[in-house]
Amino acid sequence: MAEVRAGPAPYIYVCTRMRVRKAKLLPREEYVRMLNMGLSEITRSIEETQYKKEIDELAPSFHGIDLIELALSWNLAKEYQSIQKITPGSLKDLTRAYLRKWDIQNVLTILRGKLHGEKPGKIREVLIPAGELDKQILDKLIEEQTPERIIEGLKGKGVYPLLSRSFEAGVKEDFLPRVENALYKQFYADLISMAQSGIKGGRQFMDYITLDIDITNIRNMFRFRADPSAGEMSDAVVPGGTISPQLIQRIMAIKDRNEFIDALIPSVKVRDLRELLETLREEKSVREIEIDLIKVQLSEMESMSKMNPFSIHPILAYLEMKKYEIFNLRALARGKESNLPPERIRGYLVM
Amino acid sequence: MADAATAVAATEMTVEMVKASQLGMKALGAGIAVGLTGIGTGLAEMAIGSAAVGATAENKDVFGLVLLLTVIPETIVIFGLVVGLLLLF
Amino acid sequence: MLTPEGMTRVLIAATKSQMEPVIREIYRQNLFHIEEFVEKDRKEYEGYRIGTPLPQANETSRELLRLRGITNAFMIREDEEGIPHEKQKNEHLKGLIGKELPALEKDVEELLARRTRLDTQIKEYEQKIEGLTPFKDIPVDLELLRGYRSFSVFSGYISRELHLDIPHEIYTAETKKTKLIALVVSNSDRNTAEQALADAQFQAVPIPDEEGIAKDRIGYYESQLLAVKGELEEINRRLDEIKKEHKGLFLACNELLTADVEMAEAPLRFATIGESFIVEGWVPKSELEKFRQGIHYATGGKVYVYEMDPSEVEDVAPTEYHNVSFAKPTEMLMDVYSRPKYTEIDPTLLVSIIFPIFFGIILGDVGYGAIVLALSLGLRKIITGDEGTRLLKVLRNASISSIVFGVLYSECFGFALPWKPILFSRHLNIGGHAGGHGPDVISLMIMAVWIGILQITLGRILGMINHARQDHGAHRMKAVMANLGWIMVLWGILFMLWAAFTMPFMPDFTGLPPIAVGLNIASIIGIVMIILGVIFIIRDSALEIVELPTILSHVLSYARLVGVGLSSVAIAMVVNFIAIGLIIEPQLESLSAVGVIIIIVGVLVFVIGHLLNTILGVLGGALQSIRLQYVEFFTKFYKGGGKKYNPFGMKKRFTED
Repeated sequence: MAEVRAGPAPYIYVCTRMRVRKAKLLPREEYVRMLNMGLSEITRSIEETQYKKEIDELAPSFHGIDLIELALSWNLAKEYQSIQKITPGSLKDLTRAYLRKWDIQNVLTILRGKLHGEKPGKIREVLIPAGELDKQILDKLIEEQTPERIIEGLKGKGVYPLLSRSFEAGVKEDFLPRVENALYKQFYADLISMAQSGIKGGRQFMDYITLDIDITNIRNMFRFRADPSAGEMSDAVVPGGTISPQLIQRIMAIKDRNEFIDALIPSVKVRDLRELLETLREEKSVREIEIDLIKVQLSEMESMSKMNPFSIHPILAYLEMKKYEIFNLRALARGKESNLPPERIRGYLVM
Repeated sequence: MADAATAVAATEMTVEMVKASQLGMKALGAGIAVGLTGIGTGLAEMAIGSAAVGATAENKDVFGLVLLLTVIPETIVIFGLVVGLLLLF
Repeated sequence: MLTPEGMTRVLIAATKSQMEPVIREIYRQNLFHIEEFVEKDRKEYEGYRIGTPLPQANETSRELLRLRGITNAFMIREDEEGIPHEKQKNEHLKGLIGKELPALEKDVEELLARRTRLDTQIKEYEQKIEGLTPFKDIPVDLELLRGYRSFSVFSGYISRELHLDIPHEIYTAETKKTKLIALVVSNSDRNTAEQALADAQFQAVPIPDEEGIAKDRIGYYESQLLAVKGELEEINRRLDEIKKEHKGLFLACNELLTADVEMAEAPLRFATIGESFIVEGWVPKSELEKFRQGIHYATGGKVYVYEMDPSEVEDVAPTEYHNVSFAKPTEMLMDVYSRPKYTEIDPTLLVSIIFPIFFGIILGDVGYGAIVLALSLGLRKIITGDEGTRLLKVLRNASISSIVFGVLYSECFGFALPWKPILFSRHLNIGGHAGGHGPDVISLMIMAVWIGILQITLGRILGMINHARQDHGAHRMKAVMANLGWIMVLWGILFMLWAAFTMPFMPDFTGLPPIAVGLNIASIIGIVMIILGVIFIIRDSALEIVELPTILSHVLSYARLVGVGLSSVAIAMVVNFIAIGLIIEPQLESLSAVGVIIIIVGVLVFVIGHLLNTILGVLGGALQSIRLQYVEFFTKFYKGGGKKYNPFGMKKRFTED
C-alpha cells in the first residue's frame, strides 16, 4: 500500500539502479579481447568485474569450465533475485510475471531430470533459480519423487496455476514435449491478460510482450523453414503479436524466400525489425538470423526504455541484456573449452 | 474636549497598532516565502533524491556528484530565504 | 598551473620477438598510458588485429584465480594489521609460487572443503532436531507411529478440544501454548477421524523418520552436533593459523601474479600484423627522454620509438593534473565534477582558493571552525585512503578560512566575541539579549552579489581563453565574442541599475546629468553594451538567447552565501537561548539539587544543539560553496570529460624486482 502512495520516487529509484547496472555490463571491446584469451584468463578477467564474489567463492572448490559456468548461473540468479526484491508495487508483479519463464524452465528441467532418472545433484547444477522460485524451493522440489508431488509443491507460487492446468491437460501420457509449447503459449496468454487487467504500467508491459511474441514467432518461422523436420509451426505459434497466427500459417506455405519476406513485412510494426527482414532476403544461417533478431530486440527495448524512463521497460531491458551477457560468456567459455577458433566463437556472441 | 482627547488617544493607538500589524504582516510574508519555496524545493528534490540514492546504491563513487545534484533545487528555497530576510531587516 | 601536465603521443613499433621485453620495460617504468587499439577504428590500421596474450597468461590466470579464491575465503585485506612491511624479492617469490604455494593451497582447499561438509552436516542435524522437537514429550518409540497397513496415524497440533467416539490410541504432549497429538486409528475410521481433527483445527506435523523415543534421539543428535562443532572449530583454528602465518605471502604472490597477468595480457591492447606489432600511447613530456632511453636499453635498440605530431592528436590526450602542492587536494573536487580535457584550462587552483573563502563566508564562526579543524586533523590517523586524505586537507583549509571569517564577523558558537564585527554584522536579535542593530543583511547581500558578478565575469573570461585555445576556424572567433557578449550584457545591466538607483557599496551614477530622453551617460553606455552583447551572443548561437535570464538568477544565486550563513547563525543563537537563557540561567539564580540536574540537561542541549549545527553547517557550507563553483562558475567555461592519465604499470606494495 505504501508503494501506491509513495508517488514516482520508488520508480525513479529502481530505474536509475537498472540504468547504472546496465552501464556496468561488459562492452563489446571486452568480448573481442576475450576471444583471444584462454578459459582461465576469461574467468579471471570477469573475476575483476561484477562476477568477483561468485568466482572467488567457488574458486577453491571448482576449476575450469565448471567454475565459470556455475559462477555465471549463480550471478544471474543473484542478480534477478535482487531485482525482484527492489522493484516496487506493480512493477514487482510485472517483473515476476516476466521472470516466470525461468520458473517454468526450472520446473520442466526438474521433471525431465526425474524422468530420465538423473541424480538430484546433477539436476541442481543446471537449474538457474532466477525467477520467483528460489534455491530453497527448487531444492525441495528436487527431493520430491513424483511429478504430481512436484506440481503440488508449487502451491501458492505464481507459476502454480499455469503448471497445474497444463499438467491436468496433457500430463498422463507423453507429458513434456507436447506440453512445453502449450505451456509457453499459456505463459504469454497469462502475461497479456495481466497487462490488460488495468494494472499500473500494463500498457508499457504490453508493448514489450508484443515485441517479444513477434520476435519469437519470426525466429520460429525461420527455424522451421530451415529445418521442416523440427516440428509443426502451428504448435509453436504464439498468438498476441502484431503478426496474426492466420497470417503465419498462410505465409509459411510460401516456398520462395523473397515472397515470404514480402508477405511478412507489412504486418511488422517495428522499423528496425523491418530493416532486418529486408537483409534476410539473402541466405543466412539460422544461428545468424537468431543473433540478428536478438540484437534488434535488445536495441528496440533500449529505445523503449528511453521513451519511458520510469516504467517496466528499463528493468526488462536490463534483465534481457544481463541474460545475453551471461549467454555470451557461456558461449565463450564453452567455445574455449572445446578449442574452437575465435572466429567460430564470435558467431555465437550477441554484441 | 474630552471627546477630542479620546479621539487623539485612539488615533495614537491606531498608529502603534498599524506599526505592530505591519511587522506581523512582514513576518507572515517572510514565513510564507520560506515555507512555499521549501515545499517547491522538496518536490524538486524528491525525484533527484530517489535517483541519487539509486545510483549510489549501485556505484559508491558517484556519491559526491549525486549529493551535489540533489542540492541543486535548493536555490529555490534560498531565494525564499533571501526574500524573507530582506522583508524582516 | 592552470594547464594539465604536457603529454607526448608516442608510437612504438617492433617485431613480435621484442614484445615481451618492451612490455616488461614499459610496465616497470609506469609512465606509458596505452591508447587501446580497437579493431575497425581507424583507417591507417586497415588489416591490423588485436594481439594475443603472451603464452603464460592462461596458466598464470589459473594460478591467480586459485589464490584469489583462498584470499577471499580468508578475508585478507590489504590494509590489515600484521602484514609484513618489507617487500619481497620477485625471484624469491617465483620460487615459492612454484613449490610451496601449491602445497599450501591444497591444504587450504582441503580444509575449506571439510568446513563446507561439516557445515552441511550441522544443518542436517539441526533440521533433524527441529523435526523431532515437537515429539519430545511423546513417550513412545517413533517407529511405532508409522508403517502400519491397517492403521492410520495422524500427528500434529490441535488448538481445540478433540472429540472422538471411535476406538483409537492417542499420545499427547502439551506445552503452555500448544498441544501436540499422535493419533492412531483403524483405517476404516479414517474419515471420521479426519473430520474430528478438522473440527479441532488440526495442523499436521510429519513424523520423523527415526527409531526410538524422540527425546533420546534429540539427545543423540545434540551430542553429534557438539562433536561436529568441535571439529569445525579445530578447522577454523588451523585456517586461522595458516592465515596468520602466510597472509603476507598470499598478498605478495597476488601482487606478483597480477602484475604478470597484466603484462601477459598487454598485447590485447596492441595492434598486430604479420610478425610485427604497434602500440600507441602517451608519455609526460618531462619523462620522454628517460622513457625512450629505457626502451632503447632494454631492447638493445631493436625497437622503433616514434614521437607523433602533437597538433593532430592533442584533443584525445589523457589528463594528469599539474598543480602546486597547495591546490593538489582540491583535484578531488574536480574529479567529482569531471576531469579537465587536456586542452582545457584546469581551474583547480582557482577552486582551491575560492572554495575555502566561500565556506568561510557561510560558516564564519571561530568555534565551529575550530571543531572542524580539530576533526580534519584528528581523523587523519583513521582515514588513510588517498581520497580521504585529500578530503581532509580540503576540509582543513576550509575550516581555517571559517575561523578567519569568524574573527571578522566576531562570532563564536553564535556568541559575539569581545569586539565589534570587522566585516559585517550577522548577529541576529534572538533571545533575551536582543538589542543592537541586528544583521547588516543589505550590506551582506550586496557583498554576495559582488562576489557573484566578479566570479561570473572571471568565468566568462576563462571561457574566452578556452574557446580561443580549443576551437578552430570561423567558429573560434564567434565563440570568443559570444563570451565577451555575456560579460557586456551583465555589466550593461549593472550600469543601467547604477544610473537608476543608489545602492550601498555600488557606484552611484544617478547624479550624472541626463543626455537624451531622460537617460544619463551611464544608462546609455549600459544600453549600448547590452545590445552589442546580445548581438555577439546571437552570432554564435541564436538559441542562447533563452539563457539570458540566467544572468540575473546566477548572480542572485550567490545570495546563498548570506542566506545559508545567516540560518546557521540563527540556529546557533536559538540553541544558546534555549540552553542558557531558558534552562541554565533561571536555575543559577537560586541553586538547588534539582537545579543542578536541570543545568546538566541545559549543557546537554547546548552540546547536542551545537554538534548538530556543526554538521549542518559543514554540509551546507561545503555543498553550497562547491555548487556555486560547479553550477554558476564552471558552466561559463568548463566542459571537462578528460581521460585520466593511467600509465601501464603498478605501484608495488609487497614486491620488488
